[in-house]
Amino acid sequence: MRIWKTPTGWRLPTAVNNTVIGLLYIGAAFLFFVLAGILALVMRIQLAVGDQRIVTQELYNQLFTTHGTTMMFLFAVPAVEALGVMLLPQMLAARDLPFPRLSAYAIWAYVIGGLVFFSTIFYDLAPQGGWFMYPPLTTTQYSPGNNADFWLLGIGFIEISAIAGAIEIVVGTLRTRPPGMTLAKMPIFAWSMLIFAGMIIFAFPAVILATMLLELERAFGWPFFSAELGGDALLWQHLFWFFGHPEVYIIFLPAAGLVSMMVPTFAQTPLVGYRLIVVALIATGFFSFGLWVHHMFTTGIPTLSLAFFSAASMAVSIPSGIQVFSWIATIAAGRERFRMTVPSLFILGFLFIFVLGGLTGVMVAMVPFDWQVHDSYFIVAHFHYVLVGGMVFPLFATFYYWAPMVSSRMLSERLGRWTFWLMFMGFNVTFFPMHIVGLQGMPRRVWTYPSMMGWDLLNTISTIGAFIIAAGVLVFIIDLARNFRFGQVGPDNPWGAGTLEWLPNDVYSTRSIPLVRSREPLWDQQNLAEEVKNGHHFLPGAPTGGRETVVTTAIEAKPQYIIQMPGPSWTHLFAAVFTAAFFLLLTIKAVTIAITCGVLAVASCLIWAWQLDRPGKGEVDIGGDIRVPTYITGPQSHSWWAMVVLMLVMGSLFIAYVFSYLYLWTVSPDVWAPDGSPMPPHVAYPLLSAGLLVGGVALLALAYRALPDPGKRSWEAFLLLVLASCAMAAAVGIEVWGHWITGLRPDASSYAAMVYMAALLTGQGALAVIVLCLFAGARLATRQMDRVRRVTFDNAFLLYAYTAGQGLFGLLLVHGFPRLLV
Amino acid sequence: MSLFARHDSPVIGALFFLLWGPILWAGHLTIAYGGQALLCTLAASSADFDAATAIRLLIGVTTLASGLASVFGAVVPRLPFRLLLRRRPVDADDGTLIGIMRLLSALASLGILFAGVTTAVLPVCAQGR
Amino acid sequence: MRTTARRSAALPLLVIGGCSVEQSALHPTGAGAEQIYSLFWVMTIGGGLIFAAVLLCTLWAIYGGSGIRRTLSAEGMIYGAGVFFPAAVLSALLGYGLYLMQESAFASSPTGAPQIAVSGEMWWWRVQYRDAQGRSLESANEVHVPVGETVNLALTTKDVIHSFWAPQLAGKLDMIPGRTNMLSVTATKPGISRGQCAEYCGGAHALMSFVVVAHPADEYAQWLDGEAAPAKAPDTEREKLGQDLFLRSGCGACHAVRGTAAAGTIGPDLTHVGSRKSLGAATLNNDEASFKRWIVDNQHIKPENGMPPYRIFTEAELDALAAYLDGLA
Repeated sequence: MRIWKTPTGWRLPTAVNNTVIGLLYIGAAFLFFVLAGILALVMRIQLAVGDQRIVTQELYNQLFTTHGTTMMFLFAVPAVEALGVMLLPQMLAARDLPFPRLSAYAIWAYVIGGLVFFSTIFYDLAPQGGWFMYPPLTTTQYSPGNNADFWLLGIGFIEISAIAGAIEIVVGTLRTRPPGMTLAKMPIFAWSMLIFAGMIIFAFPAVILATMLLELERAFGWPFFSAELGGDALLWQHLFWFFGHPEVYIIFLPAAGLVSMMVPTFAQTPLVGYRLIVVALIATGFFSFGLWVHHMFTTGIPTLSLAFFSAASMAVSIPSGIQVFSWIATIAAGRERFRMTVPSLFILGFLFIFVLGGLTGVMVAMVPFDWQVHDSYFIVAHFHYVLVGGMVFPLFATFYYWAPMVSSRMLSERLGRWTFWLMFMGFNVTFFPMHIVGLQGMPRRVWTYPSMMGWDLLNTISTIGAFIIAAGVLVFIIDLARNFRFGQVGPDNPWGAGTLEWLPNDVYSTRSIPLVRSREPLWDQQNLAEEVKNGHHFLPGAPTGGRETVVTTAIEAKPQYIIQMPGPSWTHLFAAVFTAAFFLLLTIKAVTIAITCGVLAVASCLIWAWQLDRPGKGEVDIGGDIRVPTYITGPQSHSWWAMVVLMLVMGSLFIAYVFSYLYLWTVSPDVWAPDGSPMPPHVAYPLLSAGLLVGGVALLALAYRALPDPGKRSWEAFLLLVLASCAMAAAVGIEVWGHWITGLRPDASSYAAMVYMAALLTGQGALAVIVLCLFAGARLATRQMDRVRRVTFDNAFLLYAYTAGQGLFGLLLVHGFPRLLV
Repeated sequence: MSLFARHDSPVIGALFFLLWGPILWAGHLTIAYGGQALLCTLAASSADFDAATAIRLLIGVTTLASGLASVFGAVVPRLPFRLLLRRRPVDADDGTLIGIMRLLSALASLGILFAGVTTAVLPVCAQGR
Repeated sequence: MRTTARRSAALPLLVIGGCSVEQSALHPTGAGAEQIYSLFWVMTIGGGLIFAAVLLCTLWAIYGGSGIRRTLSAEGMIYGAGVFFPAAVLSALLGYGLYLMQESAFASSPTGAPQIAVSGEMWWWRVQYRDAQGRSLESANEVHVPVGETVNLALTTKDVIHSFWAPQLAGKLDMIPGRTNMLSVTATKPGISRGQCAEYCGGAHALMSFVVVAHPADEYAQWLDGEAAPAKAPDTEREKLGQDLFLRSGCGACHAVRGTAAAGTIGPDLTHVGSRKSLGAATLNNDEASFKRWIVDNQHIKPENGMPPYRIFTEAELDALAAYLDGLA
């Protein structure tokens, strides 16, 4: 198992193994938690009593913006994604996630980007528009300077890293489960991560589009949000909260999944209501997409619209009830009493806080009540109960529970109890009074308040509580320093748990990949640990001689093929560094160096990709008399799946665009063509564009037929790939040209901006497609792509077809809609 | 391969089967909210357009259709199962999937009902403050 | 009546008529706020009971006897307590909510043109009154309403998003660029309360407050008449000097004092500024000392506000200017 060895010394950053980079991921997320927590302490000092002037107005506004942004984007989402990277492969007894370098890339990009973003608070460059960044406050008119751009570009690109992680997790949970672990036997945490990733795929593109629109407005004056030119401030709120509300559940669901893993262990009995929990997770995931307007109850949109979302907010409470009572049932079901350990204390603390937060959540879902408490400290109290209760407490339970999986020593029970009680007490002391002070009229995001309002006492109590929480976190850090030692030789299964991550483990996960027959295989399958250790299950050797794992079918988990995985590398690391540099340099308008870095990032990615798609090694025996191939193409391959998931992401982004287009029309029909703007050009233009797109797909279909036999070269296929690239480029060019000659300019009105935006989105896809097609051409030319070994070609083809489809739809909307209005 | 189930479920089919109710709920919300926004815009621009009737009719019909389909999923899950997975349910795993789908459909039906009822009570386009 | 606890050198306190003014949703003096207040108690008591029940179940599950634990561990329990019970409670609650929204919609059915237009501007409130005779007059940072009468407020913004929140009167409503949001309020008790911008609007968002005065109906008409009159002419020599300074120093470029040459529209109308309950959007008390401090030091009192600090005056001139402004009753 030498091939799985973690690189040492100065080569350590090249590591891709999930336990190594997972630890980096969690460590970075925890660092941001501590940093953003310190900002919160500064704010609490300022608010301890009224009329205080310790912190200036400007700094305070930067503080709460950075606190919120860091906690949401740099701590909460990465932390749960990190747990996925860390725990999922072990729970599924997979050797690693299917795209190890992709996760390593995403993690490095996040670490670098996150640190730079956070550091802006030290040189007065931090954004001060709130973590929600509502325009018009964040347009150049009211926020000149680069501060807001740091948010838009910095966070925008960290979102992209989250999406990369989500793609990994979807393919990982569905395709790298151990043989026999059917969908219905999947651990709850895997379910929750699957739903988590699905939600990221549909929610994050909305905010990515929003950040693109706002950055375009800031940089080039495309008026998406300015009312004078037909834009609308509420468009941002729709897009932002379409992401922002699911975001809350994106954070909560994995944490709830972890609780569902830990509770059965301490009760020593299987989870009561496995099915019900799965229902609750899926239902929460879905309903959470129907809640976004509940952040907009006070914007003055029609009362009936509000009622739809109030109804959905009611519906989303039921799944939480299901989960709470399932946990209580499981606790009650144990033959022995529920074991009181540090993780179980954190779980009970979580139940207490989360139930309270859930109940205030129902209160604010009532539209009239929200009219009163919206944007008051009541809301601050509510969402800290939900998020800290729902995510941070389970996270600390997780730290104590799963530490033995990566540490040779367990964390201290004694210090852990101190941590828990300090955090639990401190939390309630801090946040409970905020409910009352909010009802007494204290609004959020105020850097000071008059002493005579009667809010002083409660605020002082909150400040004291904040320091008690900080003390709890400090004790935890001491515990980490004293007891956490990275190493795989920790105690095996110290809690007596039933799931696969407690099998004897090493960097490559388990010695052999077990055949699973139940939801708690360690409890139900006698001697499983022994058998696995002795290599009696699947893949005991390394038949391909490299890093590899078994891919199984998505529902029934039958072994299907062996995936050959890449090992340590500098390429993805450089790609991450240059991607981060590109975005951050763009922020400070250092355009030339930024573009250089961008090109270097693409080059690193290409070198990285060049090393992939290795040829198959024929069929191999994985044990149990099962022989499977080592190379596979088409709809069964994991790379096809990842591409499809990527297409879903792009599709959500485009749907968000279509929504924005139609939405702005409902707000400002007066700037729309034909009356308010020049008509789109003659139909010949879109027809020609469409023809080129369809023709390009046809060219690729011909190229597919022309792919050579293994070891041969086909200049015909090469030529077709190049031609298809040209067709794509020409289609986008003609579309832009057509609008330009009608006299339409993107900064003229929100209509014009939306017209060019469609072309921009297609152009973005086209750029990726062209790079991919030329990359495929280069593989052809070097005899690395043929009839059999054609994953690269398949990917190019899929992305091409998708982009062409999106382009056609865009043409239909942009050229068709104004003609409907004539 | 006696270690494993004999059948292979189509992934897309299984996905749509599991999410039967939630997908209907999402469709319902999209049509209700989108339809209302669109019809209110049209009503604002032309005086003789009766938005109230149009919206109540649209949302009423959508609620009825998606609600019934969702309830149907909860009550007779085997039909969608056969339709989408192209086989009969055989083992305990299938039972689990069906159980999940039924309760999800039931919850979705409630969600559809909640959203649908609002139309009967409130003015359709007014700000109402 | 609460006496003020603590005085800070930086920000003197707003004390009106000897007692501090509240903006608490827990002491409603308007129809909308009263409804929400009842809703609050229904939900708080109900929520409290449910919370207690969940805690009790958890404790039973851990420490209870085998009988109760067996009951709690049944899947039926999850259906009962986790599905049916919440579904029933939430349905009832949704019904209650819809009823309240219907009431609100009913109350807001427009009975005429808006009587008061409030525009949020970074970081103060421009308030325009229009009465039955068609008189239109401008004021700032105070909303006066008659008790027992439904008043329609037209809410707009000049720059970014603000939110108009007078908790004792009604729930809040945002002011959004390009839109006019209508809010109907009905004061039920005479008295003074406070309101504040509730949507983060940049810089001095924390210091964008206002005063709500609910007059008995007859008093309201009187007040409106007074407000419609042009500014009072200066009485004393000092006030005359103050007016002179005011007009000569260019204050009129931004501020209007009806009846004089000052007709600026960028800043708050000062015609009756002396009669207002506060200065600087409910940031300072309204007295001569505050006027002086504001003129010289407003960027410290309220950082980033649109008025530059004026340090060109001698102490005597400042006194005169303050006396003039304070006298604009």
